[in-house]
This record gives sequence, structure tokens and C-alpha cells, in this order.
Amino acid sequence: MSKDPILEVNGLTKHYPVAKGILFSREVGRVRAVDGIDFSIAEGETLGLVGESGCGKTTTSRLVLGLEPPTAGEVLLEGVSAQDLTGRDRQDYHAKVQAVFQDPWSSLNPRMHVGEIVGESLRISKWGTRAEIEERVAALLVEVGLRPEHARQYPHEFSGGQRQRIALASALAIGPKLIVLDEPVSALDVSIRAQMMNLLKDVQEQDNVAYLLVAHDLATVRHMSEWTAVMYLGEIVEYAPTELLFENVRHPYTRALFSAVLPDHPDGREEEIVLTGEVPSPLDPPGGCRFHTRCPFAMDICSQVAPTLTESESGHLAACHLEE
Amino acid sequence: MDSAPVLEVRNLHTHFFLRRGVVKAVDGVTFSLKRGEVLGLVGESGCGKSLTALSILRLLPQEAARTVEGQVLLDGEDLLAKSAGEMRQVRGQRIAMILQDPQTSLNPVFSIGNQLHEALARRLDEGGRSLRERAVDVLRQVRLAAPEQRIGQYPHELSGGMKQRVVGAIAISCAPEVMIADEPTTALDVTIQLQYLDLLKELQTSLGMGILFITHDFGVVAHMCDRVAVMYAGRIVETGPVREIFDNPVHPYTQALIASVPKLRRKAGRLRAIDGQPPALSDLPAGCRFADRCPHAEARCRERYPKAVSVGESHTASCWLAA
Repeated sequence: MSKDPILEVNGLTKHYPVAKGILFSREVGRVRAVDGIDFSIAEGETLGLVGESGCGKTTTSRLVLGLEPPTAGEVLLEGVSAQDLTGRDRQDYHAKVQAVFQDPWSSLNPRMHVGEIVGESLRISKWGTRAEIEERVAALLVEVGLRPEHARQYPHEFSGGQRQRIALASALAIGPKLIVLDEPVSALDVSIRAQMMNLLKDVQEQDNVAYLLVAHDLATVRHMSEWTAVMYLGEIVEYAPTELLFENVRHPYTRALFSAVLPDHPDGREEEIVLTGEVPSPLDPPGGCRFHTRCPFAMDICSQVAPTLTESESGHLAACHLEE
Repeated sequence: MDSAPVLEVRNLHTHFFLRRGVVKAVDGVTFSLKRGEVLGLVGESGCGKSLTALSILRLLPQEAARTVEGQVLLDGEDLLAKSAGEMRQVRGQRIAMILQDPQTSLNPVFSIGNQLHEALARRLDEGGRSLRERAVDVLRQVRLAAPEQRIGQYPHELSGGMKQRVVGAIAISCAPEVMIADEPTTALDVTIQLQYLDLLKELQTSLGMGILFITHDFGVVAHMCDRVAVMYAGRIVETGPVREIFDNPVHPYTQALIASVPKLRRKAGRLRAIDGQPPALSDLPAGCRFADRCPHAEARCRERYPKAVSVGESHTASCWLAA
């Protein structure tokens, strides 16, 4: 990696205990939502995190946002651990890491007008006088393609695409280093998605902000991100620069994800691997390689020994015994 | 696929009558669906595609919405002229529907078997088998693993993909002539989506149904559909065979929609976005409804709505530039 990482994640783990009984409750199992993952994001770059629902990508984003403490491992922002921050330091962390969520209908407070929503973080951090904040809000609305007078209106007066722009403006307000984008376009209409993706790229270029893009759509990830990590059942199974990964897929699960992408033309059908069955429960993930129960190439070793991420070319990591 | 159409929708108008005015959500929709064919009805949210489906089944939200004009012909019989009792014989038996969210289409307090029995009991079985045997059989048809055990389970015990299979089983239990699938895979994961689409295709071939497939995803269209109808602001703007629509889209809206989707196989510098938003359905322009967002719009586009013209074999488009 040429640039210094702004975010580093080392051995990040999140287990949720499953308890039984009310009075004398005891732990009967653990949902291994995220199980020891490492990645980093450089300044002004995007890492796409792909996987099916339940693979732990949203938990990862919550850990990065500092909304939950990890069970083990650490999240470092500019070298500072996100954990055990208090008071001022905690506020600083949250100012540097902002989020845009999937559903712009539930992420904006319906009782606040747009000016309040966008300027909220500025007011809390006493960024400036009321007039200065108003001016900044107007500039932000223009930056995301809205008009300054929209500050007086309420979220219900806007369409989904416009609401997502408002959410982005409020994430940008305080000048974050990193924005977590959790499925930022999947709730939007097809004709609006392209507008939003272009806007996200423009904003990144202008403000030099890094993105952690959580998505399930490979085409979106290819379009948006410099790096791609593929998650399966709480683990990263493949991690590489996007172009390398899309040119030369190494892990069978990633190949299966590619095969599941619907064609962009009626004749463009290519199916290498069609997965049968569904993702096993993270409560009791399969031993060895977690993908071996669904992998068409599984060998004896796969059910016994968990493969580790190994590097082939310049930074293309994959965790699969077939590669050894 | 030259068979006669099983479902024909002619000049359908469904409007909402609200205090603040009339919302023309479906405003002159015409299409036909042949036996054994998958017709994709494509458009953005709010374009009227789901309301078209509800109008066909006469399941409109009461009072507010009314079908004011048009015909819905099932094997030549007009469904809009039927009584409420006759309509009940059509729904579920001759036209089945699968909705987007399996979580809400199944009743959480009844077992899977129970909900299947309800659908199966409406039709006598030729073989004289018990309801349970028939239920197991339909579940096997939709490839639900271990159907004997599933029958006693409740919806919350199944995953999203399995629930949608159960919904599919209920839909095919009466061997319908037409299936309306309203974004049935939007709530499913990608790998599960592909399995489900392939299952629908298989069922369609074995049962010979016509499927009206409502979606906003051109990938689903490319994978599933034989023909496509593109809908915009209450009207169908282009209809044609799926290959024609992809290779030779005529309407600027269809062109823009296809171009705005990021491609997996090659990296585009910048996506070709469609500027602006669809017009408000309560205040529609006199001319072409896409004119304000169209890069090729001329003066006449804003004056009068273009008639549908033939632009190829069974390929029509409503655009002045195509005329």
C-alpha cells in the first residue's frame, strides 16, 4: 500500500453470547458474527466489503463506527484505538468516522428540518456561531446537489434519492476522515442509483474522505472501490485490490458470488458455480474451512484444517486450501 | 410461442381519488401475456407496476383507488365485469401472486402445513390423496429440503429463501394459468435469488403458466424474461422481445436505464445517470412524461403524448423520435 492507512483493523472479533434461562442464565453458545478479521483503508480510498446477509459485514461496520465494543481485536483510526475512549476523545472519534445507512426513510429524524439534521454535529461540537453553521449547511447542501433553501424543509418532503443526499451531507458536515457506507444505494431506484454513486465519488475526490463500503452487489463494489474484501460467516476469505480480484478470482466462494450475479444481457449467461443450500448458522459454524459444506471443490483437508489468508501476487489474499 | 394470450390487459386506468386531487397511477396500460411466457414489467418505484398487478386481481386499496377504464381479459373473460364471488374463484386458483417479502405474506401463527392445506383444500384431488400428502408433494416441487419435517414448522423457523419457496408452493398449489410475481427475489440474498429464479422458470415450464414478472432489475429481466414491457409514470413506453430491448432499445428511458447500471465485467469511469426525477402523478404533463429528463427532447415532445409505434418485430415504443 502506497498511502498510509487511515483505518486499521486487527484481529477484530465480535461474539454475541446466547443465554438460556432468565434468573440463573447461562451461556449456551456464541454467535460468531465477526471472527478475527484484518483490513486497512488508506486516506481517500474505498474498501468494499462484500458478502451475503449474516456474513458479519454490518457488524463489522458497527464495530468500526464504535457503536459496539469488540470481543477481541482492535480498530485503529490514525493509530488511535477506538476502544475505551472517554469524553472529548470519544467525541473526536465519532467526528472522524461518520455513516450513511441503507434506508434513508429511517435514518433521518422526521421531526427535524434538513438544516437541523445536517448541522446537528456542528452544533454539538460547537463548531461555530449560528450564522457560520447556517452558511456551512448551505454549502454542504450545494455540494450534494441540493439547494440551500432545502434547509427549511422536512425529510418527508424529499424523495429517496434526495434523502440519501441529505444523509450524506450530514455525514460530511464535521469533516470526517472515514465514512461507513452501509448499502448506500440498494434502497434507491435504479435510475437514481447512478446519480448517487457518481456523487459519492465526486465527494470523495473533493474532500479526500475514505469509504468503508458495505454492499452485496459486486458491480457496485467494482465501480466504487479500490480494494475489495469478501466475507463469509464472519471471516474474510479473499482480500485484494479490486482490479486484481475482479480479473482473477481465487476463492471458490467469491467465484460462486460472481456466478450468482445476474447477466447484463440475455445472452451473457455464465455459470461456473451454483451453490446449493444456504449459509450455515454462525452459532455453530462448520469446522475447518467454513465454506467446505457448500464448496464444490471441498477436499478432506477442508473439513479439518482452517485455511489461512495467503498472499499470491501483490497483495491478493485468499484463504483456500486449493491454492496451496 | 405463438399461442393465444392467456391474459390481456387493455387500456387499463386505475386512479387514486384523494382530497387533493386525482393521482393517475395507472394511466392507459395495455399488454398481453401468452401461455408459457415470462413477461417482465420493468420500472421504478411509483411507476404503477405493482398497482397494475393489484388492478388485475382487483385487490385495490378500497375507497381511494378505482379502476375507471379498461379491460382485463383472462382467457377472454373480463375480470373487471365479474362479481366479488366470482373473483374469489379466480384469485389463487387461476391467477396466483407472489409478493416481495415472504415474511409478510405468510401468517406467523399458522404452521406451513396449515397454510398449504388452506390453499389445497379449494381444489379436489384426482388421486384422492390426503391434504398432507399433497402438501408434501407441492413442497417437494418447490425443492424445499425435508418437506415432511417442514410441514409442522412455523414461518419464523425458516430462512427467507425457504419462506419464499413456501409462498411459491402455495401459489402453484392450484395449478394457476397465470402467476404474478412482484419482485419476488428482492428480499433474498444473491446466491439464493439465482436458485429461486431458476426454480420459477422450471415450474413455469412444467406447469405451462404465463408469468407476469414485476421487477426493477435488468439483470433479473435478462435472466428470466421472454418479453419486456418498460413502464414509466403510469404508462408503458416500450415493449419488445428481451433481446431486442437489450440490443436495440428505442425509447430514451429504456436506453438510459440500461446504461445507468454498473457493469460487472468492465469498469466504467463514470456512470451515465438519468438527471432529475419522475413527474408527480397528480400533475402529469400533457406531452411525453419523460421529456423533462430526456436528452433528446424537442418541442413536440412536450406538447402531445406520442402514440406507440412499431419499431421492429413485435417491438413498439412510444416516442416521437421513433415515429
